[in-house]
Parts: sequence; structure tokens; C-alpha cells
Amino acid sequence: MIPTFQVTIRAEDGQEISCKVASSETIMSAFDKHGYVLQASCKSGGCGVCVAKVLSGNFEYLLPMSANKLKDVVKGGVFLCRAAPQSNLTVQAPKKWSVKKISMFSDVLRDI
Amino acid sequence: MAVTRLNYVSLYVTDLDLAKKHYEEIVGLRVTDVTKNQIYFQSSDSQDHHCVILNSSDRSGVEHIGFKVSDPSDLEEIKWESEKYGLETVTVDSGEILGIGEGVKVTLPSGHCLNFFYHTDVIGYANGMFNPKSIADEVMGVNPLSHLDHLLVTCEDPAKTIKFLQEVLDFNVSEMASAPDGSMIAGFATVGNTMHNIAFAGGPNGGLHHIAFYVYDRADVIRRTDLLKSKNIPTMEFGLTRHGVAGVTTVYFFDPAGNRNEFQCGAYETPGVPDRVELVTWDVANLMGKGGFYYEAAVEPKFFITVS
Amino acid sequence: MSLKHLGINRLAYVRYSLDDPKLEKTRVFYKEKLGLMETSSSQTSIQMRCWHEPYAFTTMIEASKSPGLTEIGFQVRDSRDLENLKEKIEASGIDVLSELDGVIKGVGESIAFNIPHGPRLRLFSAMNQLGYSTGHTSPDWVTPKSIRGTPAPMFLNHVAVTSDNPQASVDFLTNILGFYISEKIVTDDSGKLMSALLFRMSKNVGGQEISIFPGPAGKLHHIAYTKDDASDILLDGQYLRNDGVNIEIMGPTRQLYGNTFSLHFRDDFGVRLELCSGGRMTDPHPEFKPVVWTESQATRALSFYDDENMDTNFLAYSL
Repeated sequence: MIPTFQVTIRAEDGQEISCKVASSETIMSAFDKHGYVLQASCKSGGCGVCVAKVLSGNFEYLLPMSANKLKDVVKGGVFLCRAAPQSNLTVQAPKKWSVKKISMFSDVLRDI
Repeated sequence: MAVTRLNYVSLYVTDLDLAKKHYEEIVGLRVTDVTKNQIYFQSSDSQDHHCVILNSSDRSGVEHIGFKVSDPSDLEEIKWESEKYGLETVTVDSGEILGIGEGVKVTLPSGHCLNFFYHTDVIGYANGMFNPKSIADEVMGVNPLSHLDHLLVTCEDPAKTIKFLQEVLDFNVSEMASAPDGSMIAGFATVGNTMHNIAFAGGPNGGLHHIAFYVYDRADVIRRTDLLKSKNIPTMEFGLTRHGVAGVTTVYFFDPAGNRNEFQCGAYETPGVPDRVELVTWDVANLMGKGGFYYEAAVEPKFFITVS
Repeated sequence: MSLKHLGINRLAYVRYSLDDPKLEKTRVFYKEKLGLMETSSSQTSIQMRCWHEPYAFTTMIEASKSPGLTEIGFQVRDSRDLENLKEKIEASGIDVLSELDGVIKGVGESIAFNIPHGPRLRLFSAMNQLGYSTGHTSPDWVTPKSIRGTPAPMFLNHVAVTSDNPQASVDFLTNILGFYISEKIVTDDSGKLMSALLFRMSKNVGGQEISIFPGPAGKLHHIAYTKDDASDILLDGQYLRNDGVNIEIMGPTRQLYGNTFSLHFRDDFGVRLELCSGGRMTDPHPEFKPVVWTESQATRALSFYDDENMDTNFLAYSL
């Protein structure tokens, strides 16, 4: 059984989203499956755009990270594109996520 | 005599196997040599030993950049002039880098290392050099690309490094972007007749913004964009677009180490020697608008800050 | 500093004359149908450039009762460079005519000479700059509205000429003027040189600035202009045909010799013109290796799409 943990992402305005993430998948891909698009650019551990601040919990990287980006990142930062949880984890997002548009047509009619 | 052209880029990658797959199958380069920690690649329509070297590392980014010179005696001159300018140089023995002869590595004020050398082994075009095959085999369902076209790298003071390249190595600056106070934000330098071989823009010293490969057709850029998206390769926001600067059709994407790549097509040509044609300049407002992405006339800030 | 780029650094212009007394037909064809931009003209001569070029001109046509290719112009680095090349050419046994600034409008002091078994070339170090038609400040690199709907090529790409001794012409170009060969055609049996594509520039649609084909000494075979890619050329072909232009029977085709996608057509006087895209990035370096074709493969190499027995008479000179 692959361990699964609760990962919570908090935005600067206090809003939170939370998902169950397996320790074998990256936080970014897990949230993507749940309809949340996290701030990212290269998605390959090389640019630092997706770095979030760890508020509590542990993680490990599933794929290699660029050392010169890791060293630039303030202690306690996590690259969401390649990190998987090793315990329940709460992080502060660099920029607010966006929600995947899965019902934009129905939304239009609903709001009329 | 003089520096002839950008010849190759040597990159750091955090996972050699993942990167090999990317450059072979997504970009479509031929593997020309392999060592324990390196892989050498060349495009279909370039004849020298390599245009990309991947180095297994704990980091991403650019390791060094290779430029060819047209006379062996240029190497001694480059070493002497660079040291006189106050820059560090290192002699490179023949074969230290596979497929090329001896060279002189110069560390630019920007922090980047340029390797100047005279000789490379010629492996020939993929289709052959004698009564070549008519049509190249497709790679990833597209026509093979032509050559490594240019790099955009970052540094804190682009003007300083550009000055060295102009004064000592006779590079021409074709276009430039400047801040309201007149200082250089980005300078595009070339030794041949393309718009740039290497460009410097504001950012961390030694940084890599992207390496670009030239494809023959804008239809190829479209098809390659389709394939990148269908294979979930991370691409830049707008996917396929056109740069106002140089007017080339382009798509940006990332290798598995986070190094940004580009496919581009556009025949922009320059005089090739300094002071022939008045400099083309871009101000910040236009650069952020049609200069960066012509159709959209808007740039995501991520485009500038994502550097490996 | 000796790391300076010296010698010929670009193909500057092609200059020829047509039997068109006031150049009326010429103006209509080159400006309205092909889409070049006039930069200067008199009753009997016209200078034009491509919209993406900053120079005074790249195509110059004059009226004459004895039409023909006059010369091909190449720009060198500076006047000392010009002087050195003059000495080198004279030392090789070729007569050189030195001419003053302004002999040709827009061109500084120059030297003119005939290449062995080939056309006249003119080398100069200074030419008037008109600047880009788009301006130099945050320019819009888009075909100017006035010439949209024509091919409006971006740059002069190469000039092909004929020689009755290709080897002698090529030897001069390589040994004396420092050209390199990107591709060549030789006979199957003896490897004798029949044709070559020569370059000094490293441009994207690259591989040739001057090309040699077998034929009478110094005639014009064709003039080629650069386009971004093949789809543009297909559309250009439609515009040309719609304007009544005579398009070569081969139509749009892939030319393996030079790695281009090309369209060949004629002006009203039979001068053969080409729109090309593709090419190769070349390195002006002594160790650069050319592609070699044997003559029996040349028909495939000149027009890949056509029936090899098609009667195109590709090798016939046009002016």
C-alpha cells in the first residue's frame, strides 16, 4: 500500500486547498488531477518558479533537482513540481493557484 | 583570422538518461559520442562533431559554449587579448572535449565560459556528403531540424560583456533592448549573418535563458508545438508565437533538467560586421508588448525570470 | 586587432542591363509583380532593394541595346582590405580597374575585374545605408502594406552564373577571394568540376552567394531571393501567376543541390529569377566540407519533384 498524505496549500490571502497525495506522485500532478493548476514554469526542477514555503511536514524529491536552484532557495522551500509528501504537509504557495475550467459552459447558463 | 560561428553548447543536466531521451526524441538530434558522464549530439544538417553536449550533474544550466575560429593562430591571440583585458583563460587540450582540437576557454565578465577552437572532426550531414539521400528520416513525425542557432544567457551587466565581444572578438551587435535610462537590458551579438549567435540579458551571472534550434519551415514549428503539447512537455504560456524582435516564429519548451529550449524559423539576416547598419533598438514598453510576443503583445513575467 | 573579420563579408548586389529603353516594363515587373522597393532611379537605370534590407540597393538594372549581366558586387571590410585584395588579384594575373567613389550611385571607391572564365565582379568597402524600411526603433518586421500581395522577398540570396571552365572560376573564387564551397557537382568518371555553390556568409537560408554552372563565360544563369519558408513560396507562386508571370515548368520544387525549396520564374525579358527558402547554415572555415554530387545524380538534385526526363533545359543561361 502506497502511503498517502494530506497536503494543504495556503495562499497569501489565507485561502486554502487540500488534497490527498500519494508518496509516489508529485504534489503538482496530484493537485492537477483535482483541478488545481499551481504556479509553474519548467516543471523540471530547474527554475524555481514553483517553490513554496514549508509550514509543516516532510517531503522528498522524486526526480533530480538542480543544485544551483536548491541552494538559492530559502531554507524551508519546496519545489512543488518534483516533491512528494512523506507526512501530512502544509505549504504557503508562491502565487495563488488557478482552478481548472471544467464547467465553464454550464457556469455561464447557471449564472444567467 | 577571426571567430566564425557559434559551434556548440555544453549543458548541465540533472538526469542524463531523461535528458538523452529528450534531445534525441523530442528535439531530434543524432547522438555522436558517449562517455561515462557525457553525451554528444549533432543536428541533421550540421557537419561538425557536435552542437550539444550534456553533462551529468547535480544542477542544470550552461556549462560552457563553443565558438570556432578560422585560423589556428587565433587561439594564441584570443588568449593574449583576453588576459590583457583582465579575463581568466584556460588552455583546452586536443580531445579533452571529444571531437574537437585544442582550444582556449575564456571566462566572460558575465560568468559564462566560451571555448574557442579551430578544429572539429567532421561527421557530415545525416543524409550523407556524397550523392546524399534525398529525404531525411523523420524524427518524432517531423522533418529534422537544421542547426543550433543561438543562445540567450543572463548576466548582471550585459553591456560589459558585449563590449568585450565587440572590442576584442569583432562581434557585431544587431539589436539591443534598453531601459528608460539608456542602459542595456539585452544585447544581441553575432559573428556571422544571423541576428544573433549569443545574446545577453539581465539576470543572474552565468545563467541560461534558452538554447535555440532552427527549423526550416514555420509549418514545422506548428507541428512540433502540436507534438510537444501532446507529449506533455512543459511549454511557455502562449505555445506557438512570433517574436517581434527579429520576426521569427517560435515555440519555447523545457528539457527534463529545466533548461529552456526553442524551435524557431525565420530568415532574418544581418550585415555580419560591426558598424555597417544602424543598431536596432527596443524600449521596454515595446519589448514587453509586441517585441517579446508579437501576436499576443504581452509577456508573462515568468518568461524573463525562469533561468537555469 | 587581427581577430577582425576581413575579406568579402556579403553579397551586395547584382547589376544587369535589359533592352527596355525607359525601363517601363522593368519597373512594372520588379516593383509591382516581384515586390522590390525602388530606392533610386533615372530614365535609364533603377536601383532597388528588398524590404528587409537596409542598403542603398541590392538589384540594379540599366537600359541597354546590348543587354547582359554587368557585374556582381561584394562588400569588403574597409579600404585597407580593398587594397590588399586588389594586390592579391593583380598578383594572380588578373587586370583590376580601380574606380572612384560614386562611379555607381551609392557605392564608394571600388575595384572591378573579371574572374577567369566568368563574370565581372566589383568589390567595395562602403555603400550608402538607407536604414531599414521598418525603422530602427522597435520595428515591425512585417512586409510593408504597399507590397503585400507580391512575393516581396526579404533579401538577395545568391547569383548564379555560367563559366566555360568551372574549375578555373572556382579556383579563383576560393584561392584568391576566399570563398568556400558548400556543394559541388563533378563528372562521374573523372571527378571533373562542373558546378559549385560558393559562400562567405553564414546565414540561415545559406550555402551560396555565387554559384557556377557550365556554359558560356560570364553569363547570368539566375538570381535568387530569400523567403522565410516553403509555404510562403507556394503562395508567392499564386501571386506571380495571377499577375501573368511566366513560371518555370518545374513549378515549386525541392532542390537538393543547395538544400532549398525553390520556385523559378522569368521576368519579361527572360531573366530567370528564384525564390528560395531552406538552405544550410554554413561556416566560413577552411575545414568546411562540401557536399559532392556526381553528374548522373544532378537531375535529382536540381529538381527532386519532377520527372527526371522532363525537358526543363535548366542549364541554359538566361541573360
